[in-house]
Amino acid sequence: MVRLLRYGTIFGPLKDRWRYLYKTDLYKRRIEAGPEPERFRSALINWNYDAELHACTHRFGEKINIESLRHALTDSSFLNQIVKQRTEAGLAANDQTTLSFTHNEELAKRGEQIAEDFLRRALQYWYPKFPQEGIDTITKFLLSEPTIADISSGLGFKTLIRCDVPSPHSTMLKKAFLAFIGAIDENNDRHRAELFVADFILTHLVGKDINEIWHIKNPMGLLTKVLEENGRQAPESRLIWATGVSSVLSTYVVGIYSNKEYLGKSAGATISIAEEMAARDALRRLFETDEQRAPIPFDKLYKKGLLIDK
Amino acid sequence: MSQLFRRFISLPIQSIRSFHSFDEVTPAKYISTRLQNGIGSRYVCQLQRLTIQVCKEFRTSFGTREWIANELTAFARQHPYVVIYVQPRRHRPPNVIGEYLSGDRQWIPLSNCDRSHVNWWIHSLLTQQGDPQWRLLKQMHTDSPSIQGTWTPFTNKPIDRTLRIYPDKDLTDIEYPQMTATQQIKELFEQEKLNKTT
Repeated sequence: MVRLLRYGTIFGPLKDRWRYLYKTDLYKRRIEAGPEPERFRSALINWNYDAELHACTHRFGEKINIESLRHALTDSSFLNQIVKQRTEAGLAANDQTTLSFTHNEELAKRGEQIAEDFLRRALQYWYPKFPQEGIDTITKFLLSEPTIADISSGLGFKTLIRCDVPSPHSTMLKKAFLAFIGAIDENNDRHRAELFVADFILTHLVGKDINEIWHIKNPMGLLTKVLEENGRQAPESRLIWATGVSSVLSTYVVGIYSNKEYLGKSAGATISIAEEMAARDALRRLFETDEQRAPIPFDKLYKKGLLIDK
Repeated sequence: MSQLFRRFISLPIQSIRSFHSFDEVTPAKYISTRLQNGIGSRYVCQLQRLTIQVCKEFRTSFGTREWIANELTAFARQHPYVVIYVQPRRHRPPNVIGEYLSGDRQWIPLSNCDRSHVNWWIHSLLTQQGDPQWRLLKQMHTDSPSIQGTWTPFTNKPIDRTLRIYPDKDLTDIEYPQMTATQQIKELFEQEKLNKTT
């Protein structure tokens, strides 16, 4: 593992004055030239777009028509570029019949609709007591631009998208990914498209706490409201333990009860913090989203009873 | 010196077959999979495309040539999700370059490798995630190390201790039982008697 040869000996001894000067000059020139410009992957010699698309369909095990996939991966910026090039060349730019393809905007909308619908349904199914507002927030987080762009680039859409910049922006990545879902729906059935969403978008929740994604501003107020709706008494907070009260590292443990029935407890540096955290804990227990809750069975949602159609 | 050079000019990642130089700091991370691969209903092969650079004449690429002649078609049929390019280059050493879904690139020189070695390296590229230069902080990792939660001085503490007035009789009884051994044996004897009668 240790480098056995000296740096100088690989390319010839640097003890020669002229060689030393030559190498130093080359080094300086390379620094001056700066970084290499970004290039399209398709500019390299080892590139066959049809083969890439064919491999892309096999990668996810989806049976998609190649033309349909090509359509799904064509961004509007690419189309605009083509039109611009045609006008510059003196061709009829507005004549859409000369362009044999369109961009993926509509397919992306279709895919987004499917994804949103499915995610909302799956979350409601697995967390039935979680409020609608929270489910909306989590769906919004899962379909947000950074999340989808991260998934899209992780699945290799970065090089496959046809657009006017070498490294596609996150909007382009998002559109292409959602259009791919739309293309699955178009070629196969809705079931396959929803399975794709479950496999690649819903799994983004692994290792994340959904209570942290939906940040509740006033947990005590929400707890009162929820208890009122269920016909229970208003919450009462009680101090259970306290240590180091006069020190810097003071700890209070506050429990929350409703009609002497235990709801949840938490520790905090001050009583107000501990009370707020205890309210959050009580809410977690009421919504059944606490740590003891089983994780979403990503591959078995249908088997466990989630229906395809309502 | 080379670290400074790398900072200015984006060079491809060094191959795992090349010498490891200690003048560069290896990045470290916990073991993980990209995008929770395999948690859903399918596994996605991370190798996206494979470029085999080979010479038709030189002895250095004899194994690579043999692999291409005998095993390439079967490999391509078995793994249709990998795009394979073969680049004949005259009088140059053979290489294999793997490009991954995450955008990483792995380059492996195959000079003087025989057919089985070439096969080994190509399969090692196929089964990789594509990040060669990471030093693993640990061989195993979990996001939730404790299911029960971390221990605090308040866990499993009996709640009635706040209401006690010290010195408490029950607590002293636990530490110093008031009953002697003879008394205990006598009590046991009487209990057995009662059991026999009933």
